[in-house]
Amino acid sequence: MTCFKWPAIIAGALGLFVLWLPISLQAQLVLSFAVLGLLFIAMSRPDNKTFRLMTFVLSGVLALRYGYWRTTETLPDISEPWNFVPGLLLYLAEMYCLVMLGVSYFMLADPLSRKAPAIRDAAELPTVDVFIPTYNEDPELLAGTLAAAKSMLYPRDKLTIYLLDDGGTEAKRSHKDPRVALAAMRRHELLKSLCEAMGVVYHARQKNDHAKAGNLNDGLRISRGELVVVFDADHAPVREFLRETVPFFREDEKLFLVQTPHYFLNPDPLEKNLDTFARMPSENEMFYSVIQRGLDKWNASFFCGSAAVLRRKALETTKGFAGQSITEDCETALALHTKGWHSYYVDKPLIAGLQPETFVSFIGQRARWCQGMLQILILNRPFLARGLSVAQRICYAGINLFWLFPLSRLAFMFSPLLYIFFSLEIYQANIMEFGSYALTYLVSSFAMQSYLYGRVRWPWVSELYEYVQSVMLFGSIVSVVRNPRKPTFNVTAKGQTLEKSMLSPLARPYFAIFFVLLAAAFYSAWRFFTEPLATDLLMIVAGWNLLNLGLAGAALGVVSERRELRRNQRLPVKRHALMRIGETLHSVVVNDASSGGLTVEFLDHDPEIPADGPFTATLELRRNGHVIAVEVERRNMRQGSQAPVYGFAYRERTPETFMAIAELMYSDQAVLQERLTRRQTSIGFFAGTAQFALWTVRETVRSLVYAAGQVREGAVESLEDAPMTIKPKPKYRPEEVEDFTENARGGQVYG
Amino acid sequence: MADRSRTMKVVTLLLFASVSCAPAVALAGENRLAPPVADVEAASGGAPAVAPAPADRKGSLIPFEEPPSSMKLTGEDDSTLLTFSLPERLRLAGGVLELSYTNAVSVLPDTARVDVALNGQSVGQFPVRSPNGFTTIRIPLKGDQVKAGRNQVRLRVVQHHRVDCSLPATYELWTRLSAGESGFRTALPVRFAGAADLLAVGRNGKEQTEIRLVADPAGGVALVNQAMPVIQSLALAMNRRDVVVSVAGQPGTGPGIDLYVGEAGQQGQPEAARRVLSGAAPGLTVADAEGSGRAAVVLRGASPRELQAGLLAALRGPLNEALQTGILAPRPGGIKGGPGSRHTLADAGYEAQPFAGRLSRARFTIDMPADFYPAEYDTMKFFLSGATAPGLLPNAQFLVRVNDRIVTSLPFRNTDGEVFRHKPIEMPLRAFRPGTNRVELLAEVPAPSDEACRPGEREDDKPRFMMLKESALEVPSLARIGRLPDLGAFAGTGYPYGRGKPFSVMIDRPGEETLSVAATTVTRLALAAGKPVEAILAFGGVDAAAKGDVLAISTDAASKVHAAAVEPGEAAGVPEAATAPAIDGVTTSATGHGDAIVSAGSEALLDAFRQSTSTGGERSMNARLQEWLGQLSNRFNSWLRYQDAPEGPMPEEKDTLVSISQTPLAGGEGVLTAIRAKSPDDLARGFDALSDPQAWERLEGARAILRAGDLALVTHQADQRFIREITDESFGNFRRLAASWFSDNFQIYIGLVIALFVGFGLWLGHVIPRKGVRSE
Repeated sequence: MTCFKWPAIIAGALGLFVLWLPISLQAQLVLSFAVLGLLFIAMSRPDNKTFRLMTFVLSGVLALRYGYWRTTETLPDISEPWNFVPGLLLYLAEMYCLVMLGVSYFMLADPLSRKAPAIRDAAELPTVDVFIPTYNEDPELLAGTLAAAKSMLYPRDKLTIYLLDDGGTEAKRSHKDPRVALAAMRRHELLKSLCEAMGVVYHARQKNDHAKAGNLNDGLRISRGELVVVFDADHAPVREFLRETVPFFREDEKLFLVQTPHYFLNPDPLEKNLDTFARMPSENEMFYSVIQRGLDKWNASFFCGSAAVLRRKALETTKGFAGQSITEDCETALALHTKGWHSYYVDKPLIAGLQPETFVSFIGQRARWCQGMLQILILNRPFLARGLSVAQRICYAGINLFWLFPLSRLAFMFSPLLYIFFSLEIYQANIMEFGSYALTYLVSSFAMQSYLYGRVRWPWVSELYEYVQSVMLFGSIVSVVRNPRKPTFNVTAKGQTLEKSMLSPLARPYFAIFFVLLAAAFYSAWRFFTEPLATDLLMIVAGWNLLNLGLAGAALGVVSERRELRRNQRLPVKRHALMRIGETLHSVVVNDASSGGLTVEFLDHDPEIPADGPFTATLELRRNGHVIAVEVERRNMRQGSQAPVYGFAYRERTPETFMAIAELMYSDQAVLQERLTRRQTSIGFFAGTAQFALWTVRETVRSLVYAAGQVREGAVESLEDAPMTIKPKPKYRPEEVEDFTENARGGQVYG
Repeated sequence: MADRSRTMKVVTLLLFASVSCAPAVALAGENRLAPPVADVEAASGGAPAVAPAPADRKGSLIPFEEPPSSMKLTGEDDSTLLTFSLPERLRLAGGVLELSYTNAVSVLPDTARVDVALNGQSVGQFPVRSPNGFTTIRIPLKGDQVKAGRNQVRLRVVQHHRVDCSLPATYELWTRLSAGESGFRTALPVRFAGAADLLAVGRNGKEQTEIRLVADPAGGVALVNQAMPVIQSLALAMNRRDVVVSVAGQPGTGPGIDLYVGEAGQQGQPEAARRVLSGAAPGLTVADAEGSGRAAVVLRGASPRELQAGLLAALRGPLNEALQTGILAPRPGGIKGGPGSRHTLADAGYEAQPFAGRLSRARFTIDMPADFYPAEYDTMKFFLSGATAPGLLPNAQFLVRVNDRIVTSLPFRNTDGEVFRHKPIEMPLRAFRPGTNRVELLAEVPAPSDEACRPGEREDDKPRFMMLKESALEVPSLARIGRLPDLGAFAGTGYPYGRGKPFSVMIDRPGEETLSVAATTVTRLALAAGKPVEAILAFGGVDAAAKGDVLAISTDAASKVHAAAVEPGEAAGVPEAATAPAIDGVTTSATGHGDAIVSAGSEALLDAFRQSTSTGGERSMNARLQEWLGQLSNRFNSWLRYQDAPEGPMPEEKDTLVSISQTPLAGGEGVLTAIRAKSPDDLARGFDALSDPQAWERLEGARAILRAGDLALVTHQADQRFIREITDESFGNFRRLAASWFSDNFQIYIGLVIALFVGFGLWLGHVIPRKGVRSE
């Protein structure tokens, strides 16, 4: 194939020259259709790498032709500044998108799927320190995470778990505000007791310097493990986590990171408010199921702050975790990549975490990511960073530049208004030109989007996510560009509940934009029907504005928060267990479980359970012949599809209870995988568009109802979870040390 | 003898070049700016009103130099620039500006008027009210109002419709001058005493400027060859696009020029010529000929050297100023479209005036280079400076028409009035062609009051639009390649005959008609090229192995003319031969007399059959849908072929009066342009119509035919073209050429793009899995 190298390169160069020719509209139209036809043919075999790259090339042909035409023929004349300036801004926004398209094609050229090497000898395994940094999370949440971490399959003598508490630092405990100080002291004591009870090392540093990065670095200071695992406070790992990640480090001495995806148990505000969580893939799946795998190809998958294993030796070369930016994770990875260390990405959900529940916390999280990534772009300049390969430069520049999307999205939202209201011609094209260049490019883009991300992203959802973030992130971008060192780390609030449905405090600008776009839609229609010389441009712009209006309408639904009473997120585990009622053991299936309770179906016969009044039972799980028991009390009963389904809450929540919960929820990675896989199906462009249109109408109406204060919701009884009770009695299951190698070979035993 | 003629021609060319070059540049600068814009109120208010006056026939009528087509003013507000040349000795006595005009019946006489300005000064105005025939307006001019040499008369007509204030009605408005009866009537009769006086020669009854070479048509071509440099020089000096040349044994009658060349004893001289030549002094002399307003030009010389000397003296002397102010100066109402050039409307002689009607029209021509390749690699840009008044209807718009086709528009959306400062308006380059292009700038500016059109409420005087003379046209860098056949370049720039290389003019049979057509064609080529061309006339058929370009005149259908030509598709090495046919043209249309082409051929028969068998009842939805889809398909196919509408069929042989076509010569190095007719009479009659400037400048494509029945001109685009030469070998030019050629042959383009990128993609498919972290 080497002999084809130069002819192919020459063909590519010649092809670029030919694309650079100013050909006629007729030629362009036929070219576009021909290339689109070939593109669809190439898409017919998604598993074939050559066909895959062919789709990139063919789609690139249309994109390049569009870019050339857009540059040479559609910009307003500079002698008309009122047209030229906004026209140039829109053009730059589009060129940004084209650059990002090119970068994304590069990143996604050949996504990797890694499989963990087998473990031959447990004795050869490295020592592992697990860091769980915390700041203000609930102890119950931490207990669940600690229990899951404790339950990971690994030799006990080689695994140490650290709770790194930044909410109970000495500085906090001696805060000048006595209320803050008292809260910190109570937290400190409580978590210390919890850790002691669970056999976990509790550590609170003296001062809260450098936020999360500083906390982790202090954890490095007090620990000695060869590998360091980082879990966010709400990220509970499955038992197999270390088995799926640690073996890679023996294969590659230069490996500094094995990152795994973040899987979430709860919906984000968009999923919750549009009611899509059960059916639609989550937003982050595009990143974790596609993009990180693509980055992995170019040794550019990066640390995402949690659910990752890092090599201490590598971290020592950069003096620990980087703390210049507020996204210490990506910055740390960049620093280590520049020093020649390698990163791997394992596309397997191995932790279960929480997303921000409210729109405010969601925006707060995204603002931090956005500012942090732009800090890296400005302060670290990854495209110019020494030590990176060209591919890594492109990848890092791409992932940092991505966060400029609010600028382009807002430009796309507001540009049509300039023509509709003020007749500013900032995009100079007639309908034939638009059809030949822009429309075919858009068709190819949508087709490629479906081809590359269809499994993990429904049509128009990216645009919706971008829009709802853009309105709020614009200020964040301006702030970080003006002063890149100004942003500070803010912890994302999680586990919040909403007592009643209501508009988000941030909803006002979304309504304002919606009504402006609605007015523009009416005005453009009026112009279209009353102006004798209604131009092609008016048709194009009016259509474009309608799309924007659809986005803005759906976004109103996102900022119209549905109530969320659920404190604990359920995971459908479908696990066999025994339930002891009195002296009788019943076979049951645990349908789902959470840190507050579970639901079961009885398999053999209906138990004798009184219709009302308190009723307790003991749930028994089996693992390797050992019984894990947890006492539960009945909460409710409903009729399932085959049998009654009983809801139980844990009678008490001790560290042992949390261990049982971890066993129940996180003992089988397949549970997470199945749930993930079930949602990852492509619904196609047309069905997706119809779905989007439905959201637009439905959510607009719903948001207007909310805005009018017409929400009608009945009272729902919400019973408290059992309080956490700490009985300092560390319980280990030493047999797990022996289990590990057996399980590592696939000998998983279920209770 | 042929050698002598050729030597003389070469010398004439060199001489012409020496006369034309340096001063032309300076004068071009001087003449670029039009006279100061006269304020319309001052002009009309201060100008004396003139009325029809009785004829005073003592003097002579010096006609305007422009062809009749320049003397028709259309629409509600139109103007034209006309010139006449006045000999110095007649200037002091002054004279009368005679304007013989007629107008459309629909013109409202109450408000219609013509403003007349001479050399930038208003000299009068008169009402337009002569719908039933020509009326002559006479404006007396004193000696200090005119100047020796070329005088410029600007006529601006303002006219409105009697009863209809709609936009379409404005197209019915016209006022036309008689080319034969209008001009400057001198106080004293014109006496032709010097070469400069020839510019005052009148037009004949066909409204043509005739130069007659008095020579025996049967006496061979030597004398004609000898005379061609003189004929071309005279035509260039007079700068009249309606010049026709005749060759006859007797001098002509009526206004015109009789030309005598050589020596009395020379072979081919008829008796009349012998008589004149024997009494003439050596060199070039001019005298009155017999008959009213006719000049006799004698170039006597025994040898080519003497003839050259005589012509040289005239070109350097009395004809020099005529050349500088005429053919070498910017043409009034026209601009040279050089690549990368920018021209204001003032350069085209436009004068800004507030416009008070519904349809403003401004016209000019732009001469594009002969080797210009029209395609989409760039656009011609017009920068509009001007303003609209408040209160226009929302359908007001600015339109640009190029070569009789609307190519772009700019809606005037702001009904509150709008000011445009260099507002760019793009025109597709494909709408232009090598040679002369007609550009018309139209502003449709209707107002609500037009709908009522009541006499007392009409707003015929309230300004609605004004276009400033700073409005400019910008010509982009052009793709330059000589491509043939192209009758547009032939008629507009003389290409490829005007490149300074000798070429043969083959005439299949001696005769007055054939020689006249040959001489006229050569003269027109010289006028188009702006310099003499080196034609060598000869009798006989075209040699298949002929080198260089050939012009052939044939009056026999079975003539050998075509035997030497290569049929389209046979030309070796012609890139277009490999492509799909008929994708390279602009729309073909019947022009000349404005009649529509009568459909012929199978499709037309089918159409006629369908129409005749139509039941006239309500057709089914399915039938209507099919028809609509069919129309849509046809329109799309035409668009794909760069045609505004499908080409009509060429008239059949029996319907053809005269044809002109271009084909590559079998030798592969030259082009053959053949003018054919079935008989000498047909040739004379047909060429007379074809040489009308209005028809001549509409020649385009590979073939043009004048139909016998209605003298309508039908043109047909080339199926294939061949490359003649590439003068610009820069990378930019090759890129533009590649873009143009690929646009015309986009199947190849698409195939190439796909082949290149599929090849590249296949290689990527192999390489990428092996790069980075290997996945295979």
